[in-house]
Amino acid sequence: MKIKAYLLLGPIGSGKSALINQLNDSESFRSLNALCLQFEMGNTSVQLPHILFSKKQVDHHLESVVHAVAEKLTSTEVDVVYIEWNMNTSLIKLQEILQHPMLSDKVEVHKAIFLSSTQTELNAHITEHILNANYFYSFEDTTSVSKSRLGDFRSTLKTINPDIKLIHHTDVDAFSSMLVQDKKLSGELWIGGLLALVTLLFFTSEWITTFANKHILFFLGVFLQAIPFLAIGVMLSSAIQIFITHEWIESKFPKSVIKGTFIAIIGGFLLPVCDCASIPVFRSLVRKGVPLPAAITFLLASPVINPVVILSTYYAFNGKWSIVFTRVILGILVAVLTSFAYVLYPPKQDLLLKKVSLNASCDCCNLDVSESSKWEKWLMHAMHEFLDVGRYLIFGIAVTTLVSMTLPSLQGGNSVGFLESFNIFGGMALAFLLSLCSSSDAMVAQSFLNKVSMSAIYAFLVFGPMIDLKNILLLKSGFSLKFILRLTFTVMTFVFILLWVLPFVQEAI
Amino acid sequence: MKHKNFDITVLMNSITFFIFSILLFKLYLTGEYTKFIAPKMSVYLIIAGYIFLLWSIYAFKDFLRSMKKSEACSPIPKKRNFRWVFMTIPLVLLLMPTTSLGIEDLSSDYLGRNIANQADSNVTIGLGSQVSPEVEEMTKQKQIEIIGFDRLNKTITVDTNNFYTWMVRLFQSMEDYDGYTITLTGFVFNDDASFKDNEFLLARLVMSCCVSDMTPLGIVCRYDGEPLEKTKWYTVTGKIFIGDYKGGKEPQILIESVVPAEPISEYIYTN
Repeated sequence: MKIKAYLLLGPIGSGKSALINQLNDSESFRSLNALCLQFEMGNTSVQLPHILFSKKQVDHHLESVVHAVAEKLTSTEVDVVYIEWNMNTSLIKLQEILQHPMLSDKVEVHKAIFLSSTQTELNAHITEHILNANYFYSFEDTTSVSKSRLGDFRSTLKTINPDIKLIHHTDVDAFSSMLVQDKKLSGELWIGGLLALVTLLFFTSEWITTFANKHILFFLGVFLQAIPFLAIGVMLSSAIQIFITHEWIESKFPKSVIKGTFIAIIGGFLLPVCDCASIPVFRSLVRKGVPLPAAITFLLASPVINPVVILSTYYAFNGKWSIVFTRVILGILVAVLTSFAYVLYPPKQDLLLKKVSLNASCDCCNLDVSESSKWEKWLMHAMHEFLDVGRYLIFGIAVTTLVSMTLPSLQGGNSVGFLESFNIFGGMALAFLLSLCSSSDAMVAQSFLNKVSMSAIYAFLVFGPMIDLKNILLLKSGFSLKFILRLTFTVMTFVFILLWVLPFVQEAI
Repeated sequence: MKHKNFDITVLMNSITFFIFSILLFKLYLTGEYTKFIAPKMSVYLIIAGYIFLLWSIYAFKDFLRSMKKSEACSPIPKKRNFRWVFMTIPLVLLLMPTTSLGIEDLSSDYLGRNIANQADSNVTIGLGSQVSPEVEEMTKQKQIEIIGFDRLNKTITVDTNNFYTWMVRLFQSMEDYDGYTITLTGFVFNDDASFKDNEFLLARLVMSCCVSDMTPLGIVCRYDGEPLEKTKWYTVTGKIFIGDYKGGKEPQILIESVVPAEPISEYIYTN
């Protein structure tokens, strides 16, 4: 059994030594024999057995550090180790120490805590430490800090490391029991449960298909239609991530809003994919610094105006170009109007993106970079993005399947009744719940022809590709709820206004 | 002892995508995919299959590389993620012995009767003319001449392969075919809400992209005999006439004879 080590990171004066003292006295650690390895001399002295190492020693005499620690571990009984690490030294050095043959089977870092205050500037140098921390702890009296500053600080932390837990300085005992807990268990329980369920499904397939055949077919039909596009989408979005630099976008992308929007619309025409693909691409574009309004135009317009959708609409409505044309124009108008709303009222930057950092295996230390070529990085990044987004897709399709199949009121004749009464809103709601791929919704829409108003049908055809259950869930993998809600309501408003006005415009023409 | 540091997650990712790509290729090669999606979408399955295979290979390379390296990047144990587990759900579903969707499974009464309405003039097909290239392109049902059309005896015989094109013709230029005797095979669809007792829809199933958009497409028949059982297959013969539907006109059939028929398992695919 390896000794558990708790790593404390943070600038001088952030309170590492103080926290070590408090933890040592706390309920969970009180009875344990502790050893503190200090790699930084702080203001507070630690009240437990410790060894102090100088930076020079770490830089030039690593072996002596290892020996000293190993010797202490063998000569005294140690149950837990605290490591106070110097912010100016890279964690790779610590890795070398702990991975040394003399120590590698004795000690293991269990959790890492990052300490600082809102005064600390979160620059690139600190990022490595924050990325590796499980918890953020602070001794700062937050009542004296302005709310906005606190909010900014916290969201920047979360942007760097979405998984970091922010601990409010209250009960040290509670915190210490959190530390001791084997984190793996709670997460692994869920996963274990899921795997068990899957295995169960596998062995009871015969029986399940007797009553769930229709549902499974439906689920798989939508799934098999969606994943190729999602795969293509993440490949594209990863290409944007890996091969296109921030600087290139900065220099090449038009500054004016009008031109930017125009480029976005052209892009939308060119991307012949389902709405599943446009979302990962949207995410990448925003990350790379494409102005938000232009990116939003792309996000909303491309599912409606791309060649596949245009063709499928044409064939579904049996060659009626006027319907195709109206759909495209409405789609562009809604996209442009929505993006202008974002120009006029830009969102607070921090709230926009929930996760910006790539996943751990991507921005691992520099050791990896030289080994894999850019193409490999592209492929692996795409794969991780697919896995990241894929689970939301699966969940979304599952929900859509249940909704479509178990609520008979959404099928056929009752759909018509629903649309008749709720008209434009009905069209939007139906499109939202059915979450059809934008290449096949035209077929479903044409079955409503002559039974409901054209406004309802257009609402179905324009709103659906832009916002539906599936899209919302896909967006959730990269954006905050606030952003998604605002986008949804803005689109809804414009769709409604445009369709309400449409009959009058059509008469005038 | 050297610290074993290979990344199981990477290996599982590789395996999952490998199995997936194999399944996708198998679905395509055996034609089983028709249970779920239309033929026109099948090429995308291959694209996905290749992408998954690529990912699987490179993930495996990554895994091998992680086995050789003795140090990890950071002292903190790497957060293992289990996202690949979610992909096992559709994997398992794909392995289940599902059977193709039948008419009984459709709880809806989507009526595809409007499919040929409101056509533009350049897609209209009149008497004696060929099926326009657009319509021919639209369906897998190609034909050089109008099969089944007998102008002399004023009869139309619709067979399995030109159900769709005939539906389009009948709906687009119903006046041309008024009074013709037609024979066609389909299943009965007679929801109480939409049809009177002496009416039913004779239809076939049409799929556009995938199973979720499947719609019955057919023609209304007037029949004064014993009400026919829903979802059963029949070959009917009758006279075409112009009937009413919600204020609009559409071709309907006045049934002369009804003969039970063998079910046709193929779906009709558009475009």
